[in-house]
Amino acid sequence: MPQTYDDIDKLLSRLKRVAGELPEARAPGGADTVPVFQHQRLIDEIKAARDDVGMPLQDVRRPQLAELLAMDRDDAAFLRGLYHHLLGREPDEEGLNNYLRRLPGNGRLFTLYSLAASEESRRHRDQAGIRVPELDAMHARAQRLFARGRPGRWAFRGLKLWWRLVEYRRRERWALQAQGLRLEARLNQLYGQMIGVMSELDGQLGRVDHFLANQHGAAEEVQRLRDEQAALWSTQQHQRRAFERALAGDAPAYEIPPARVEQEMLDAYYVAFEAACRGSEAQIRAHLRHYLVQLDQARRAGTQALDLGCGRGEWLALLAEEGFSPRGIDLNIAMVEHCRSQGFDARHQDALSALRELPDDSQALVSGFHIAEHLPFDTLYAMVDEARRVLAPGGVLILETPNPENLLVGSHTFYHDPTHRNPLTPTAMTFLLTYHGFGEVEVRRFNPYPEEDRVPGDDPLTERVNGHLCGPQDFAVVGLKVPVRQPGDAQGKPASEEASAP
Amino acid sequence: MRLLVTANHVPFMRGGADYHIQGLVAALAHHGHEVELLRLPFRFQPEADVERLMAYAASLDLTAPNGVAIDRVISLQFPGYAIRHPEHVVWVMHQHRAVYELYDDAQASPALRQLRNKVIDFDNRHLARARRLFANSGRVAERLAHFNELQAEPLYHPPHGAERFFCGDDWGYVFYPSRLESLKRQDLLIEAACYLQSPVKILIAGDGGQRSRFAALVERHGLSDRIKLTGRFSEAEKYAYYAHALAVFFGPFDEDYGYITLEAMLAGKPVITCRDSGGPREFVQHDQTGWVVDPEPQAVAAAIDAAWADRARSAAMGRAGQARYQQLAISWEKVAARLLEEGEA
Repeated sequence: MPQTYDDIDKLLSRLKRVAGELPEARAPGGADTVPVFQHQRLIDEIKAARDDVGMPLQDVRRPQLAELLAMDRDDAAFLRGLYHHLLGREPDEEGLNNYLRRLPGNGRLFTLYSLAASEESRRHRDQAGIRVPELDAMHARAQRLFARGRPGRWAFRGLKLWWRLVEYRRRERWALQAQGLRLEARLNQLYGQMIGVMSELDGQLGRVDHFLANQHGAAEEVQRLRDEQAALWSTQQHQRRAFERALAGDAPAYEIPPARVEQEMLDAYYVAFEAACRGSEAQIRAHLRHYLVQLDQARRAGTQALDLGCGRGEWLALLAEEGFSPRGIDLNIAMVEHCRSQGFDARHQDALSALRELPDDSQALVSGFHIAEHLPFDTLYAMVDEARRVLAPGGVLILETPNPENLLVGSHTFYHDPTHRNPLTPTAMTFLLTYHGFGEVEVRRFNPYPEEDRVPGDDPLTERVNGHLCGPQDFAVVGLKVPVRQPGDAQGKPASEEASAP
Repeated sequence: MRLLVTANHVPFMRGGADYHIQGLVAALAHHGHEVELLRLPFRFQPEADVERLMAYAASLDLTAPNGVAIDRVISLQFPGYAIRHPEHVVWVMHQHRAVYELYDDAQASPALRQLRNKVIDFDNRHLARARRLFANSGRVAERLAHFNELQAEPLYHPPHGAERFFCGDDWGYVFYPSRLESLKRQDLLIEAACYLQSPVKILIAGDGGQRSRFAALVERHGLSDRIKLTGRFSEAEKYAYYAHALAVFFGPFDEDYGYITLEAMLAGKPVITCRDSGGPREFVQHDQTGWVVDPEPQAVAAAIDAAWADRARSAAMGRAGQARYQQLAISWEKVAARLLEEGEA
């Protein structure tokens, strides 16, 4: 019948009542049921087992005679155990009473025999793979007697009496044995359950740890944001004040005055700095003699040499002694004047324009001592490229720079010089030269800390400490200009074959 | 056969699509096949993500991954249908709606405009390559024909729990279960209530992004005595609400398929829908199994009043809808057979 509801809330509650009576309401979907955690299920299992200890077997598929006879338990428990172990089911009321009634007359051994001889038990034991050798023996013995017909049946009565006698004599021993076996079985059962609970708890703890680690990370993040927030507030206040001042218009605009130091004054500072920090001219000359090998190589390509960033001119002096016609350039006018006063061809110029002025294949040697680390990378890149152009085939490029493999250089002494940019690594410099087609690229390392500064000892740890802290403070990357190979020119060696990484 | 079903995964946004996907997998497994489901994580925004997924799907060859031959791939959604397989059957649930029927050039960002061209090109290319092309509904097939000039066979599937719907006495209310979203147009039903002549009540069930807006609308029109937003509802409540309704309203904008029409038919209730509602139009016959009206509040109100005015006739229309559902013989068995090309069309 069509109905009408004046009150929409009444309508809705009536509909909900209808819904509550539908079968779907009693079987909520999977999403609504709370999953039971494995460890809770296991704990429930153990609790249930305590309430109903039952009669666990050592091995359900190989029950022992003593376990089945259960001489330590009452008749009902014995029969329940037989139903459970040999028929695989709970006893029915009628069957149980029947066996109970006849038990005092028949005895336990005969009862066990007759229950096991039933068709149901044999089927169950076959399916479940349960074997009891003693039962098989009893059965075989009875079969042999039955096979003899009437006299056999009489003999079976005798056997039954014999079983009662055996049962009477062994009663105590079987009882003790059953108790022991059952305790052991129970122990094994508990052990298994305990392992289950422990490993499940272990898993849970792992998940909790993981969760806590995440929480810890989140807490750190919150702290970081709080700090950041404080900084942002302060910035905001600062800007607000600046804005208010600007609006007011009467306060003078705040402006950082430029440093306005004359370049010449900075240059003079740098000469003094070099003198104070770079070591004496004599020391430097001694160091530069390490490059005599490269000078011999370069000499085969001519005598023109260009030194980029010639500084105080120590290298120019060595080159002149070795028979080269050197020219130096430097951006520091004080340095240039110092060199000129010693009679060298020195010019106030930057490295790139100096290189660009020179014709192709015109120089036997291009060098740059402690200049690369002052340059932005694009300039350094262009410098190496130009050097390759101006070098004659067989000519040599030398670039020396502080060696950051020594941790003290990379983290400390490198920054003495206010005009340094970033430390350059041997790997990066090797690649730069190789990339531009230089051959026989090689890294040479110089100026380790003096012996007395090293940590004494020669074990691996000491060696490593000394290597990182007292190792060479400078390195140079040197490369040879490889002649461009003409097609079919079998003489020219490919650059890559000659290149050797450090 | 070893079958791979592909679809999208939009994390924590469950809806009809999930039921559809899982239903298909279960049906194919019942059919005696080895079935696995591959879901691609899908993000609607940013557009670049959609493009990346398109490229990924198109690069995936699942003919015999790791040497395990797959006999057939069945894809339900964009862009999984680009996965490469010689026996790729596509059952288009819907295309990437943002660049098709929901696209508005005036509102579109440059990124969306660009994506639109790429998606249309992608669909043209990959859908044309499918071994067989099915559509979730006639409406989806129409769109494929309109936008992509592709012929697709409509293939219907039953709603969840189809066998559990039942028809009870009409208790004088109109029922509209759906997610509370703009496209579902619950506001059309709320505004229609302002024009009602009859005392019909309205139950709007479901939850969604527009809940507070719709609740405010009910409040503003002073309709709290007449309209109830019930929020989320249980399975049992769903069957009860359908069973005792006078009629079911289902007037979304251009729906692909719409389980609600079919559920109303299963519960023996007439359906009020709109001319531009898409999917429901395939099932609702005006004046026979329901009402098809203009998407205007007055028109919807007139249909509801008509349902009230002759409640016996409304019940008869509901029974006619129930009969029509039986006639269509919509079943998962049929779906599996068609997708595997075992039965006739």
